[in-house]
Amino acid sequence: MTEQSFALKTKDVYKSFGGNHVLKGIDFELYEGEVQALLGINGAGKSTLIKIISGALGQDRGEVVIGGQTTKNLTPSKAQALGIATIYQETSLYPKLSVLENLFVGKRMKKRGLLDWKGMEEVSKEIFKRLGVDINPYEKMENLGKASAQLVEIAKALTINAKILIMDEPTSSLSKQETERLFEIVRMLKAEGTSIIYISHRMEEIFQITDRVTVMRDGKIIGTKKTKEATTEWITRSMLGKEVNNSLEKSRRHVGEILLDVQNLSSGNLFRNISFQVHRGEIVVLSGLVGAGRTEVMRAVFGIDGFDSGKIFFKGAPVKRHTWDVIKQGIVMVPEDRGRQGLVKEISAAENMVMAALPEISRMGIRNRDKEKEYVEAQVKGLLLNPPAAGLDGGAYSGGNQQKIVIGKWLNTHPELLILDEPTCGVDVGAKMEIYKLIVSLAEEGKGILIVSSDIEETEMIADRIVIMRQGMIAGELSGEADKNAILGLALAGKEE
Amino acid sequence: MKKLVKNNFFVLILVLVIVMAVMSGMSDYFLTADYLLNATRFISETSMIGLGMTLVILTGGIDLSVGSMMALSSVCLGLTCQAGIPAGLAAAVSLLVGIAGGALNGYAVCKMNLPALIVTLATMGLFRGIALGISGGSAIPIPKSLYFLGQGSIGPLPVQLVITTTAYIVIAFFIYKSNFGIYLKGIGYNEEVAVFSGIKVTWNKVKAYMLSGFFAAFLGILFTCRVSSAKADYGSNYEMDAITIAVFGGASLAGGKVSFAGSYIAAVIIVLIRLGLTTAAIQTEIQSVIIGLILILAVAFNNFVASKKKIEI
Repeated sequence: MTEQSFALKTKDVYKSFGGNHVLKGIDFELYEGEVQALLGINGAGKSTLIKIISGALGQDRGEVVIGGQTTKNLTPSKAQALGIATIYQETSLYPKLSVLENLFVGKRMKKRGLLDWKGMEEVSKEIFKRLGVDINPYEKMENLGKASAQLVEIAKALTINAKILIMDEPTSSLSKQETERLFEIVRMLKAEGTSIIYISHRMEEIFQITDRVTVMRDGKIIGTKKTKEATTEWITRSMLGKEVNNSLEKSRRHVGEILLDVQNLSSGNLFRNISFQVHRGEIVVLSGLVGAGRTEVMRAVFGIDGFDSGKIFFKGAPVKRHTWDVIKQGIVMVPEDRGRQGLVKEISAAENMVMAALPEISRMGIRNRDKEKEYVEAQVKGLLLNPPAAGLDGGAYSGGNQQKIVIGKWLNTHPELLILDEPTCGVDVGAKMEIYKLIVSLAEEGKGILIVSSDIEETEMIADRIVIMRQGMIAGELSGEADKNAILGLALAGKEE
Repeated sequence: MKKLVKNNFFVLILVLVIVMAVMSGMSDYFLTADYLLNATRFISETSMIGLGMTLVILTGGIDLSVGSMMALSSVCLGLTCQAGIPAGLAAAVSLLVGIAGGALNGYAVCKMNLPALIVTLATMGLFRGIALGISGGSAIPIPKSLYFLGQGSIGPLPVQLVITTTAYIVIAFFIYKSNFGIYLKGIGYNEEVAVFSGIKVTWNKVKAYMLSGFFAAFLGILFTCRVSSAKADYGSNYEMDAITIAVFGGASLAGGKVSFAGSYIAAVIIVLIRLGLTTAAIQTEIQSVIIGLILILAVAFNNFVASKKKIEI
């Protein structure tokens, strides 16, 4: 191998939170002008490593060498000055500001003490030209789609002349063509000598775009290989530490009586005439495109929002209006946005897991800590929470484990119908399978399961029945054996109109 | 040691010891039982106004109307007593007025979704205005039977000290032990999660505002009984003290994080500083400057502690 210079090097980096060792001696190397994939299941330590490299976190031990320079007390602004830019999954742009204002946040150009908007416009136009995209710099951010927002993020990285670009799941909200365009940009940046750390869970992208692959597990680097020499088996084995069984047995379940019966539900222009049913022991997936109105229907069923007309029955009785009564009736909902709706990150996992069940656990409003402990421990064991302790703050767990905490919160209320809105969004492969198995076993116990999912493969794998929504209406219903094309067909049909 | 510095409560105790040391250096009377016991009358009053505020801040809100509510409660007590209503019943009426005022705040903030700062700024003027209007601004004498609450002692301890300390213990214990406590914490940290968890968010928040009104009214009664007459100008700027106490005690104005023990100690410190400054013949205007500085330092310190913690997560 020819000698190449390093854009970035970490030497023996350690990091722990409380007693939880997250990074255990990381030696990570990034060549100049290469695209390197960084892989690992949630909780492997990827994000912690990224945060240390970009200065958001300090390491306990070890060195970070950027461009041959050993850094000391790296902060985000120092890292930026050294040419490190991070593009996070959730964009960090201000929706109410223009593209131009977003591009130059914190580094406005000035001329004679005043802001030099002309100069900034020129620079932005130049960058957009380089990227080969056509975005009006005076457009408000909120008027742009997710793909354009992603491009603005990249443009923002270029305004600081990033030498090292960290991309965290950049394609998760992009269509196929948009992904292709992103790849072209990645190749162009690489040709210009930019080094890129590319984080993704999508295997085909890794093989398409990266030069080398590094896999992390349990806070260590398991191995680095040239992408050409790496195989999918090697990657998954390294990520999980064992052979993976990616198939889910669709057990034969006894499908019982109707649990949830939604009849002609309508609400403004959010959704119209929605009718469907969920039976005991059945897994129904509500499929469709993002923005089809599925979450809105779920919110109405769960009593978060009201609705204009229609009826909802649960076990033959009308579903009540307030969320706390709906929960008492036996319906619970794992919401879409874990961080904002599912989990209080600042309180312990244990407190999160009893929060909804307190009316049942407590007597006359006074808490019973012993009983709470039993409830929490049952969930920690049953859900295989990792680390297997509930004392840490909710935010300290990885994405998949945070989701388990939210599910645990609901299982403690002994529900009969679980609504799960995008339950595996931001959850890695290993934890995904665990969540699927859990869902299946809950259905086996005779609970009804209603899942909102935009992931077609997930839908195909887990659904007994698929209800497809399109533009606020029911587009059709398919059996669990239906194939991808049929589902997509119904979700998309008539979209052009 | 590093851990201790990050522990707000330890810092509070340290500050208290320093304040005590400085004060006893300034005056020979300070470290006597008589002086300290007398000081607890003021301490108890100030800490009681901080108790309600601590609860409201726990939900992520704020209540600027506490000082005015104290005056309104005082005037109500005076007027009902003057009308010949028995003292016990009159006190109960004042407390009910406090709860009703808190409910009004809570309704506007939680049900109508108006900003707490503006709502309670408005009711601050409203309550004060009503108090002035119905009393005509003059002092109203109260019956001697009520003096005990403000001037009497239980054993060696002033009545206020017993009442306020009991109130703190009961509330702190209740917050720790009850569903209400974890609900308020959950709401304070992340209201949307609380909604999705089936917690009665509005009702629980309204309860916090009602408790704040209740304690403000209670203080109105104790204060009136100490000075032997009711008047509409009591409690001006008390909201400032209340916020200082809560924040100095370790509360985050963003909600979710408060410390009742911290608030209590913070009240002790602030009153002792004020008494010390008065003993040293420093004008009240300068005292306000000093209390204001303490508030800023307290917020800065809390931010510092919070930023240290955030990095660990």
